[in-house]
Amino acid sequence: MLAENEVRSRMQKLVAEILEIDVSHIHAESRLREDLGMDSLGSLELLSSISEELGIHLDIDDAMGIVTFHDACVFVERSMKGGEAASGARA
Amino acid sequence: MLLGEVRRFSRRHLDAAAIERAGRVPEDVVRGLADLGLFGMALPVEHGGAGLTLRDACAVIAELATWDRSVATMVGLHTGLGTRGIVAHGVADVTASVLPRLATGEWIGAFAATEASAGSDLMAVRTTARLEGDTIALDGEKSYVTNGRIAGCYTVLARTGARGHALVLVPKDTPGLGIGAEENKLGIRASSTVTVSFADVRVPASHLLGSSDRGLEAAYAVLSWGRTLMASGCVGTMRAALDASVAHVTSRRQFRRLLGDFSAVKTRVADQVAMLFATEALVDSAATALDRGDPAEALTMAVKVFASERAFEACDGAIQLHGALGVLEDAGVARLLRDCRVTRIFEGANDVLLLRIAAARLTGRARTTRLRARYVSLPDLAEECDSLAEHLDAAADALRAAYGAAIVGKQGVLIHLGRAEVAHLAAVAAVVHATKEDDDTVTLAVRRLLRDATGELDALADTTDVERVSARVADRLYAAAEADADGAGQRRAS
Repeated sequence: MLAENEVRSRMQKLVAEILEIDVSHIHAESRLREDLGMDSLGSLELLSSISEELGIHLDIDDAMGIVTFHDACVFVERSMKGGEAASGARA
Repeated sequence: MLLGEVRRFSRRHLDAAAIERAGRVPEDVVRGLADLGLFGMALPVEHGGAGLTLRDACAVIAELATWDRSVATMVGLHTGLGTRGIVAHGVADVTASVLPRLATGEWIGAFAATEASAGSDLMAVRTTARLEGDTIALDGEKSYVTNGRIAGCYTVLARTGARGHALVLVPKDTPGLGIGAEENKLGIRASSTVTVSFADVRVPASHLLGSSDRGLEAAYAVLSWGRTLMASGCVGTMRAALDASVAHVTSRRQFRRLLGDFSAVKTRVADQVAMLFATEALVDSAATALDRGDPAEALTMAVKVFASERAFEACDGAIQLHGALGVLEDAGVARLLRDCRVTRIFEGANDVLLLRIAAARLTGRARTTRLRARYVSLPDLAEECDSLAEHLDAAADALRAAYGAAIVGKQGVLIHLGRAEVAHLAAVAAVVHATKEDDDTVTLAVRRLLRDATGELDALADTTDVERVSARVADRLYAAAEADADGAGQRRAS
């Protein structure tokens, strides 16, 4: 499983690519919509890219409360742990 | 009262054919509009405006558009995109010096956001704004700037050095600002559309409209106003198309009968009436929401999509009813069609807006609006709208479950969902705006819109396959085109 800082660095890179901004402008407290200008389509694109990049399933329902970049990272980390627990349980 | 004056002025001075031939809105028309106070109608009273609500301003734009769409575009753009950012975000010194000029029409407002490589995707703008001490320096080039040649100032969306974007007010006479040639367009040919370039253009830092890094959010809010005003112009176009249709079918005889007596013609005319009613209702809902300060971005996107598509349909229907006469310029309906075509593209291309509407639905917590609990004059239709709302919610839930975030790659699916959402919103607006006198019109409107929405939801089941097959067809064609281009290149080289 990826380390927490590795997840965050990949997420930062993805957000920067989608929004076409420099990674240095994305901070934990940056609000995706208000501070970074990410609209609903951008949010879906981000979730989809993360799913693909990290090979995990992300549930949109659970992603609805995401406001900041930190929220998004916590959500992904939780989803990764959930996925790991589920595959462990299946094994 | 203002509407009456606008109508009298328009009847006397707005000759759409002559204005189109001239390729510009005549000076005396601009002066007359200014004398009526139309450039200041929605600006604050303390800065020389009339302080009208957006809803009232929309009524004026609809009236102007009934007579001439270029004139309506000029005034509507000024009222929305051209001045809204200044009113909402300008600092006191700037609003005090700029808004009175804009209110009198001494200056006309313009909005410069689109670039050669940044149309619907505003995040991709490349024009830069650097804050250097007490000045802002702009560099870059904006395309398709409506009112561009006649504007006194521009609200410019630019990328800021620090992060994000900013809206910056730039007066036209600022050194380094260049204006390109007028574009030769399909329609609204008297509306000015030019490229505006910025070469180390410097304005005071006080010309920053809002924050230096949240300009996109400010731009989206301004666009909500602009889209609603543009949709009200579509209402005017639809009224003109309906008037022309009725005038023709009640005077033209075929097969020994008036055209208007045939049931197929009556059905087509009645559909135009019903869609006009629904469009007016939806524009009214959006304008009222914005006047109240409600979050209405998704609603204004829906209004823009719905109004522009219904207006184009109304013009196409009017041409069909006119027969061969409809394609002759003298009949006037061909111009209506040409003039409204761009509204499906500018201020956000409809396909992109539909994707955003669907994405907002899939990523939002809100369930679809239900009418049952409210008082409405047509309970049966309200019930049918609620039934569709349940189908919409169920469809969204099913898509989330089936695709998760990967739904963003299924654009065909998203567009069907977006269209269903838009049709539902229009049906709800029609029911909410219903009065006892127009039961039949509302019934026709709601039934058609619910049919449209149901069709879009039904299509969701087929879309994946349609997308896969479409991708194969398109890819084969692209590969062939690429091979042809390579061959042509080699032939030229040899």
